[in-house]
Amino acid sequence: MKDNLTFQNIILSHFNTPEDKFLAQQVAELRQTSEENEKIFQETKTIWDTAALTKRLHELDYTQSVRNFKGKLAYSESSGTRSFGWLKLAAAVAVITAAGIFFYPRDIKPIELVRETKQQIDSVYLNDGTKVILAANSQIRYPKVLSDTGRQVTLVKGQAFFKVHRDVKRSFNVLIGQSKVTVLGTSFNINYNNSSIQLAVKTGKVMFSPNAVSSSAILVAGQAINYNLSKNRLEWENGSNSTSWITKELVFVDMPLDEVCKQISAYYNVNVVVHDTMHSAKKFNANFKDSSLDEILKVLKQTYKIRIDTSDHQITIKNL
Amino acid sequence: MKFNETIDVIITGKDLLELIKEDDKNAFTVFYSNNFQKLILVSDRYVKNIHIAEEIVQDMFLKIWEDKALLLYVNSVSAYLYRSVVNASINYVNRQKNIEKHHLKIAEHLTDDDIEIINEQNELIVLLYNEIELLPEKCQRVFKLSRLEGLKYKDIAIQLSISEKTVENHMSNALRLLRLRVIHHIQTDDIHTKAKYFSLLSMFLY
Repeated sequence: MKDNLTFQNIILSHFNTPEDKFLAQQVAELRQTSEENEKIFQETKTIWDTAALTKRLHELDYTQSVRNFKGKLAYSESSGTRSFGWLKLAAAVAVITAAGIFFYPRDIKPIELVRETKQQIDSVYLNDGTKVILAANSQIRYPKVLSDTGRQVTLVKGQAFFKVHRDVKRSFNVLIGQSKVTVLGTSFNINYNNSSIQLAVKTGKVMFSPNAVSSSAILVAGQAINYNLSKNRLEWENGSNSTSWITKELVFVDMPLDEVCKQISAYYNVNVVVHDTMHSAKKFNANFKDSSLDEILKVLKQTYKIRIDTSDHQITIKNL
Repeated sequence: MKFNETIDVIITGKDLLELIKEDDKNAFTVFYSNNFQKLILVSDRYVKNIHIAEEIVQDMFLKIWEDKALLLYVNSVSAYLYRSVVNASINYVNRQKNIEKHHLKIAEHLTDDDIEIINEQNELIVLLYNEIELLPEKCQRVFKLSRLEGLKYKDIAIQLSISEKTVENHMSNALRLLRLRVIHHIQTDDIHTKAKYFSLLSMFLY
């Protein structure tokens, strides 16, 4: 028990002075050493973060609010429910419910289905209510009926956005080659090709396991990683536009120029090279819906002192 | 005195009607008292004013009381309450400013899963709110200066004329107690609410 408090206190010191790199390093290392330590970290962090959110509730007086409500309620009148109307309603509800009950046979062997896309995007609903949107040239494999013990699908290739139905009794796993994403109920995007797996979380939390031996990473809403398959290296990225391929919308919030170029490059599938020797400090804030690459480049030219040269295979950005 | 009834034990509109049958205003007030804080937190995000949020939430509960029969059509009381609060809050903001705010449009696409997540987060906030009030006096004061006012330990020490080491000890004690209380709360709830708290626990584990 003594040891647990020691680690808890190191974590607290780290939260109090996040700029202290030594403490940050220490916490990161200690978290890896045992599941117990990771649990302590998660508990401490959740309480540290959530406690701050209790501040708003202090502007409310619990007893007064309840008393206040009770008073208003005393003066309120219910609209009279005519007894015939009530009976008719009850009868109608009973009929609808009865008609809704039916039985379907249990599958003896789990049937596996495959959905593959060519040029068009497509969406699949799994039998638990989870929705999967497949990009072009992608493929997933999934059981017709998800198992009671755990839901599992495989992203064979390409890109897909998952909106997982929350089911606390069964976790949801996506297998990607040797890697795995584990969630309970969240939404996230996976892009899988020969060299890397890119994972971006939109809502909730997910756990990414690169393979059976390496330690896992936990991502929350807004975070993204790029896992390099050959180098077995995980890098944190900016995930803000990971679902632009579905929404056709690009959102830039306080983004530095080089990151903006990285996102444009990924979305429009062009090579963008930035020679920003003046290190433009200005952050970019803009929203683009159904825009062309030219439109965005035009806005960039207005925002930054840059020159943009477009050739066949790449776009070069230089300071003026 | 609080019933242990929360939104999740009362699932459908019919459950709620059972609770408040025969015009039981007391039962309905108890239902309000168990759920209004979570809903005020949601409204506050849009209207940015706790007292207006309180008005909006109270009006919503009163409207439900006045048209009780409509509850028969409600499949999920939780979803109904959250969506009504969001809509009422958006209407309020729109009436005030008469400008459509881009981020408010997202609320109209709240799914049942989104609602479950928000509800759990808010339940944790209310739980912590109550537990912090039960912390020992000096410990509570230090913890609030740190987490509610955002002060560093150094500054808390100066403000309260104590040593930084004492501040660290109080924070350590606070976290130890709060962790214990929250885990205890999760583990001792009855079977009905266990499924709900299992997922709260998962918020820790993940």
